[in-house]
Order: sequence, then structure tokens, then C-alpha cells
Amino acid sequence: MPLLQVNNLSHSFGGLRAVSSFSLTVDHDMVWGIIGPNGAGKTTVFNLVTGVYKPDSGSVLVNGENIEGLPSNRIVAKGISRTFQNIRLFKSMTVLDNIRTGAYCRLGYSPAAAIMRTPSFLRAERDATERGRALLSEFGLGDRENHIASSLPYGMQRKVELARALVSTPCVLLLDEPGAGMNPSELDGLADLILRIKREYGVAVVLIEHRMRLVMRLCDRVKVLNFGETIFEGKPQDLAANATVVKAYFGEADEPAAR
Amino acid sequence: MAKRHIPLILFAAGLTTCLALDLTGGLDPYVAQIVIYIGINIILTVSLNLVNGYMGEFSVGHAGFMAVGAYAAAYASVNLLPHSAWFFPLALATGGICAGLLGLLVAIPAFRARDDYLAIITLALLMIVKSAFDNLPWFGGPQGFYGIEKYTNLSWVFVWTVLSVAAIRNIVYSRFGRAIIAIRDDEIAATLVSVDTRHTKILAFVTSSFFAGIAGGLFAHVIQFINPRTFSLVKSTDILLMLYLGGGGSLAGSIVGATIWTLAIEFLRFLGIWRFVVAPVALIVLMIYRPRGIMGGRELPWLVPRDYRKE
Repeated sequence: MPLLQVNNLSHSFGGLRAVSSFSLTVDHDMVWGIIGPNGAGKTTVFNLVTGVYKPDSGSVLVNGENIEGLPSNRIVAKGISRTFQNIRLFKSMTVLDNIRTGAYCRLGYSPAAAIMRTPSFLRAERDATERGRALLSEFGLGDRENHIASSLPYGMQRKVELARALVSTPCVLLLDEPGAGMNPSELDGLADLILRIKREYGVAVVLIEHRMRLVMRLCDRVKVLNFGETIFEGKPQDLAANATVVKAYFGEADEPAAR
Repeated sequence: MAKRHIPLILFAAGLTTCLALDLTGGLDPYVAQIVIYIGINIILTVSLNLVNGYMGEFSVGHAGFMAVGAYAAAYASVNLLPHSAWFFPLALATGGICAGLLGLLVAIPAFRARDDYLAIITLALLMIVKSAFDNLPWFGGPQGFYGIEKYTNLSWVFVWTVLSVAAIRNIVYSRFGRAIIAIRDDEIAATLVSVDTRHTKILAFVTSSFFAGIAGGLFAHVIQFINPRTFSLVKSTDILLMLYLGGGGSLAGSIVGATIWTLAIEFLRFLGIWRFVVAPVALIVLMIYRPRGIMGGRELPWLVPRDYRKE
């Protein structure tokens, strides 16, 4: 059974068809890439899968279970985590608290247990703190746990967001342009990190990305969107050979090539 | 003796002192009254802080919850329960629970509306509560509710102040507190990292209004006479003032803000009606120099649970 199965998802904003008949099957141990020009509907797909928007038609199955109508927080609890194109950390919180917030659905204690500070509450909190610290030190942010999240440099904020998405123990990780604003060497570091996450936490990854360097290194399969339509699906190596993709995404021959 | 017993010992010492003062009448009644008001105002401010400070909403209806608590507790102690100080906790609980139920009703529109819209909803709630007590036959109407025994003393106020600060502190330093602050910072992102925002808002509103109700019950049983005008928008404004004076998002801020404001209004009494000019002007000056309140959102270390302190 696939971890995540998206069937014929469509969505319109007013008269604009943002996504039409989008399908995706994410299996274990897999990295999918979704690419396409700005406004192609890539982030809308993530928003539909995570319940931010309700699709006009189509269905989303997580581990075979239809998640139609579930609120976002329940979808995350079922194992779909994501990051955001524009980093959305909780800016007044410390780095560690940002990550512990991501563990909300894995902490089962009741408000009464929290008010009484029962032993099971204390145990659960200690576990969450240890897991958060372990993630931070793995991402090389061990000495930053008490920093206010918004005070960190951009690249570190991306990593904190990644750690926050992982602490809810997802089976599929949706990453929205994780490489934006990074230089080539930072991109290679990010690629290594994503591969390590995939291996160690056993998550499948779906990646929206413009940076071909990252797409080529990471993705097993790629989907290309243009104006909401899927115009290509296949191996990343075959991208350049596909005339439609080249025209839609990389532009005509006299324009500068991809970054 | 372990370090973790210190709060318990301090609590026992405080309670013993209060009990001694209550039994012997060792404290000047006027001073005792001011101390009681400080306690009640701390409960009101800390509970409002949960919604307005930590969660970043703007509720202006806190006096409405206080009114429900005051009337319900007074009604219970005068008409329902035996006339004995032993039943006072039950009367207070009645007030707290009634106010908490009303808080549940307000949490529901708060699922969708935020900011100015929620402010308007809570303002409407305040008006509804006030006109309900003006017109319902059981509560004395505009003339007010008489004959309430003076059960509130230093000990009860001490116990409830400590309980409310401790309960709200323990919520703040748990997954629910992180969820509440996450809603303030970015509500959509909160739901997308698994925070149940509905559940969180219900918890925040119900807890906040429950303690406002307790404060109302304590207030009714010290002033011994309540009428709907006591719980007008001015009362809500007073609580907001104490909150923003101390600074939202900090328990210490609420304690400091409530204490300073209560004392200021008393000590400026010699100015007559001018104190209501001088005190707000002082507040405006403070807001210019410390726009985030006296504590500026920071917390005193001893109010933070040990496992949360930064090494």
C-alpha cells in the first residue's frame, strides 16, 4: 500500500483552475520532485493534501485511509508533515519550543494532567524535550536551542522548520522549496541532510523545488506542472529531453537557461 | 530538604500567616481590604493574560465572566447553600463553573473570528451579560443583589491567587501553552504542525473565564453588594490596563501590573477625582517608554518550572 496516494485532485480559485487532475503515488523510501514555473499550482497541491484547502474533486489517501474533510492537524497526526515556502516558524518562541510544538499530536496527556503536573505528564514532556534536542544536535543546532527562532540566520531557520516537521514522526515529508535562497555548496549540504533524514527516519519525501541541482541529486521521479496541468512525469534525467517541459519551464532557446 | 519543596513551604508559610491575620484580625481592615483586592485583581489579570497575552486575542469581555461568577456565587451562597462559611468554596466553584460555561460559548466564534472581530464578539457578550442581570427577576435587577455574607478573607484570596497562577503557569509550560503561543504567532502554521487549534482555544477561554468567575465570586463576598453597573466596560478596561501595564505573555507581568495599579488607585486617593486623570497619564508615559509593559514579556525565573528553565 502506498504511503500517500493522491487521485485526480482539482481545485479552482474563482475562475482560475489552479490544479487539475493531479495524481501522485508516494511509496516507501522514495523522493518525488514537483517542479514547474511560478504559479503552476505546486504549493496548492501541498495545501490540498494537508487540508488547508478543500479540493473541488479528487481524493487523498494516507496509508489507504481517505482523509477527506479532516482538519490539517489530524492529517499531520496521520503522518503527513510539511515545511513552508516562506519559513513559518513561531517567531517569538525558542528553537526548542518550536520543535516541541511540532510534537503536539504525539503528546497524549490531558489538560488536567498538565495542570497537576502528573508523573506521566513529566515523562512525556521529558521525552519530547530529549527528542527535540536529539534532532537539533543531529542538524548541528545543538547550541541554539534557547535562541529565539526568528533571530537565527535563514539557513538555520530552514533546518529548524525541518526538525519541527520531523518531530511528529511523519511517514511522508512535504518540503516546499527547501533550497530557496541557498548557494550551491549549501544546496549540496541540504541534499545530504535530506537523504540522511530519509534514511534514518524512514520517511518518503515530496519536494517542490526550482533548483535543478537539488532535483537531479535527490529525486527518483519528477512531475512537472504548468498552469495546473501535469505536463511530464518520469525520471529527472529525461527532463531535458522533453520538449514541452523545456519550453514551459526553461524557456525558449534564446532565454537564459535554468539557474 | 530538596529544592523542589521550597514552593510548598512558602505556600504553607503564606497560608499560615493569612490564617493568623484572619483569625486575630491583626491587620487593619482597610489594609486587609486592599490586599484582598490585589489578590482578586491578580486572578483577573493572570486569567485574561492567557487569552490576550499568550494567545494574542483581544477579549474585552472579562468583566462579563467576572459578573457571571459574582452573581452565580452570590446566588448560590444566599439562596441555595446553607449560610455557613464552610460552603463558601462550593459557592465559588458554582461561580467559576458558570463563568467557564459561558467561556465555552465564546470559544466557538473564536474558532473563526480573530482580532477586532473577536473583540466585538466579547464586547457584545459583555453587553448581553449586563442587560441579563439588569432584567432577570432573580438577581435584583438594576438595584443589585444584597445580603451577601462577607466570606472572602485573606486566606481564601491567598489560596485562590496561588491556585490560579499555578494552574495557568502549568498550562503555559505544557503542550497546550506552546499551542496557545503558536496560535498567537501563526495560527495556520500551528494547525500544520499538528496543533488542535479548536481544542486549544476552548481550553484557553474556559480556563480564563473560570478564574474570572472565581475572582467575581471572591469580589461579591468581600463587597457584599453587587449590581450590573459594577461589571461594565470600565471594569473590563481596568483589567486590560493591569495586563498591559505589567506586560502580556508574562505571569510576573500580571502580578506586578495588578499590584501596582491597585495600590496606585488607593495611594492616589488624596487627589480625589483627579486620580483618574493622573493614573492614566502615568500609564501613557509608561507605554511610551516601555511599550511592552513593565516586564516586557519576560518571566521571573522562579515562576518557570524547573524542566523549562534555560541552563
